[in-house]
Amino acid sequence: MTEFLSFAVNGLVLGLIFAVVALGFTLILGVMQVINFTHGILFAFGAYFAFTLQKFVGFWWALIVAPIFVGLIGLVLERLVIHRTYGGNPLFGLLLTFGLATALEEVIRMVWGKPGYSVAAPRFVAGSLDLGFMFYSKYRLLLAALTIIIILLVWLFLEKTPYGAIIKAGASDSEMVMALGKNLPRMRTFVFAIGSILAGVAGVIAAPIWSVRPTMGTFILMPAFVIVVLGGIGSFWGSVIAGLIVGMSTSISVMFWPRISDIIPYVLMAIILLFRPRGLMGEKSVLEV
Amino acid sequence: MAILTTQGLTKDFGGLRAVDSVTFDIEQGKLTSVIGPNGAGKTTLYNLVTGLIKPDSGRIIFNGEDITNLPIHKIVKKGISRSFQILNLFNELALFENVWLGVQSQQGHGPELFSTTDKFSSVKEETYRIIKEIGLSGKEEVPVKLLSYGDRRILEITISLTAKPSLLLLDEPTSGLMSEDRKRISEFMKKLSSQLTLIVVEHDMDVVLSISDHIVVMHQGKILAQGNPDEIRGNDKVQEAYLGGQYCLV
Amino acid sequence: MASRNRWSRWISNPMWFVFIIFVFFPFIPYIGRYISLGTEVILWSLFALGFNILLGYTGLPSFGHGAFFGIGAYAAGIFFLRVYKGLWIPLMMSILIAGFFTALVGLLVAKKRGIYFALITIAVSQVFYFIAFRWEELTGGETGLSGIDRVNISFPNLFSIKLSTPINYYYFVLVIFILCTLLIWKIVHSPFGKVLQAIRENEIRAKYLGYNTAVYKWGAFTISGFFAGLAGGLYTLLINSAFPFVLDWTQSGNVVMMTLLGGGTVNFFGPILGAAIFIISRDLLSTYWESWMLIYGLIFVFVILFIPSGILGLIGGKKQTILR
Repeated sequence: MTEFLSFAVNGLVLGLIFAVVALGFTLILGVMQVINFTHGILFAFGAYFAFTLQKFVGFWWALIVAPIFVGLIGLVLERLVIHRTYGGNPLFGLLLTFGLATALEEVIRMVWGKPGYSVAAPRFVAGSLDLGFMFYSKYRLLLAALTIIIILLVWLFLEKTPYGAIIKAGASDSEMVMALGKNLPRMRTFVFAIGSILAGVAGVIAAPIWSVRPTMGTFILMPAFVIVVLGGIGSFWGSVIAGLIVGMSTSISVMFWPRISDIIPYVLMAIILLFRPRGLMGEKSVLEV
Repeated sequence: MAILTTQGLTKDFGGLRAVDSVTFDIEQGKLTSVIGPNGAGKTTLYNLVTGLIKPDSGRIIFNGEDITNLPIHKIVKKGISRSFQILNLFNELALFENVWLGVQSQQGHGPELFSTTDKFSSVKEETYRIIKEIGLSGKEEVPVKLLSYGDRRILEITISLTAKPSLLLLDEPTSGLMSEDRKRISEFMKKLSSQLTLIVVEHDMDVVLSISDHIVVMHQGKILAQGNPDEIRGNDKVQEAYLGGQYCLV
Repeated sequence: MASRNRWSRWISNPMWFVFIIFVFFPFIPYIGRYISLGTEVILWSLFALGFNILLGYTGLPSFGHGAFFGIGAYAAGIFFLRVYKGLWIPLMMSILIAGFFTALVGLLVAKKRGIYFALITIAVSQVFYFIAFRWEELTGGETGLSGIDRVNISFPNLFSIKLSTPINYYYFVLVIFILCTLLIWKIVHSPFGKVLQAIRENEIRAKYLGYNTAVYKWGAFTISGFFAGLAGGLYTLLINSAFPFVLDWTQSGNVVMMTLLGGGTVNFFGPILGAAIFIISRDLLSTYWESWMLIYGLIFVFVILFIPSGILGLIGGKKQTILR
């Protein structure tokens, strides 16, 4: 039983990381209709920056600084190249970001080398906590807390601020946003930066429990796709709930039948798509028509 | 004899009721105009009848058959066709292709994978014939986006005719045209009305009053009034709906 | 008069030019030595041409076709090793099985467009990748399958062609390519092909002309899958093995890139040009620089930003903006 609980809680933690990554991805997808392949690489950059920075400034500062760096990279990418693909054939945005991601993955290899690294959790959260019914890794608990805070912050922003409300609306209907006459390019850059920061933060936090490798970007991107389709493009709750579902199901299936654990998210996605083509919480959007 | 009947047709978009419990009959062989201010629900009505969108409630009956939930292509094959308010052509393709596609479908072709199109001489002949009839012979290879606006307007209607419908829905066919072209289309419609049943959405009241057998007036998604041109001209409610607008029914 | 026009149109078709180049390629000094590379160019051209039915003609952006290529590759390998050590049966299987799965997936995506379409094709292709990776009994897992030889083509009592020699296999693949190219040409110039273009230009109007567009989209998807599978099977025979990488999304990205790069959206032959340039450059790059993936990625960026209509689009100028 405790074993199952342990898997389940791991799944929750995994799901929370997925949710943060998916949130960033779905905002970019919803507002700009770009399938952002670089999202995975930005996650990886988060982890790598954390790895390097931690040696100099420690965990907490790395947690703050690394995502900012990642956000800057995202900003540069968006302003320099990605924004030129908006409004065109979706394949172009996809291919462009795919090319960027491939190139950047190589950059990671060139800068940090090919082998993987492990990032140690900060000392104050080493070891396990006695939760009463089970022992659980302190770091993962911290991770859960951090991701929940981040998700909450994003929610507050989308729900309670006027700018956030526009972005939230734009994520499910970008045409409407254009009609509101806001400075669209700036908003899009902003959304991309936010998405990048979310990916970066997730990378920093996930680094100690994930092995930090050049290919880690791909590993996170695939579930992100599934989560976004499963949860509904542009939907906040869709990403969160679907993220948790995917995390849990992956983790639990590892316990019962490890071989199909990779495929479970896709099976879920296929089932949901058959009955609800726009995902669990997706709105009718321009994308699918 | 009613060729088309709608019963209580209703469609909401979010909080807006675009079409509100619309019930009417279209008589076979007659030309019925649908008029009303912008936003009255006319195009939505067309979209509902032709299957582009599904009604929230109500039924659509064509030739005694319930077509309410059929997909567009099935409705077209049953004999309803339509033209669009905003030109909806295959802009990058040539004139020939634009007409060919309609003729090809009407003659029951399409799925043939392995025969090149020059083997389909009946489709070819009909396509050339239609292009000649609308006076555009010689321009077959011109991409449609390069044709004049007036020519494209005619083409818009022509393409919808290739399906050889028994009921044709025209949506503002004279939109954006000068008076000479308007007359051209107006006469074209008069000629058509002797061959099939027409429904026309129009803003040009001269055209409406001169060609219509029956007029349906819509306002805010509902039918405000219907009748023959004289009845509509004298109708106070209709005058009121247009009051202050650019339309004068005098 | 009409028949002479038809004849002269056939003769002047650029297709013959392409075929002649391929036929004489092995005899070209220096580069003609790289026979296997040439074979690879031909089979990727085949893949890309079939793919372009979907991308260029119908306008549907599938980013998952690497899966069908991979399914064909594995089908050939598995049938060779487990069922029958022949030539034709494994190849037939690669076509049929890939076609089967494409048809299945096609049902999922036939009513979608744009981003949704692309997303689902990506996700689905990943499923197949994981299956290949994990179902070790069937696919050999991470290590894949090997020992898939090229059997001789033998006409009893007459002669036998040893396909294991690179140059013989090159011409074998070329013959298949020529036949398929002619077939694809017919398909895109048929009524079916015209409807695909209508769907690309204006799907709603196509519906209003009475076409059941979902079925046509499914058809285009499935047909492209058959060719992808065939290319995959030919590839397995080329490298005598099948590994999971044949299924991953880099393959999907590759085929899209070569189709676009050469100008598949404006010209029937674009995919062939794109495949040639892509495969050759990739080979050159990877030989001389370990971090060639950087350039590879940047090429994608460059093409998308500066030559989105591909090379043939660039050369053709304003005359031809879309595929006919």
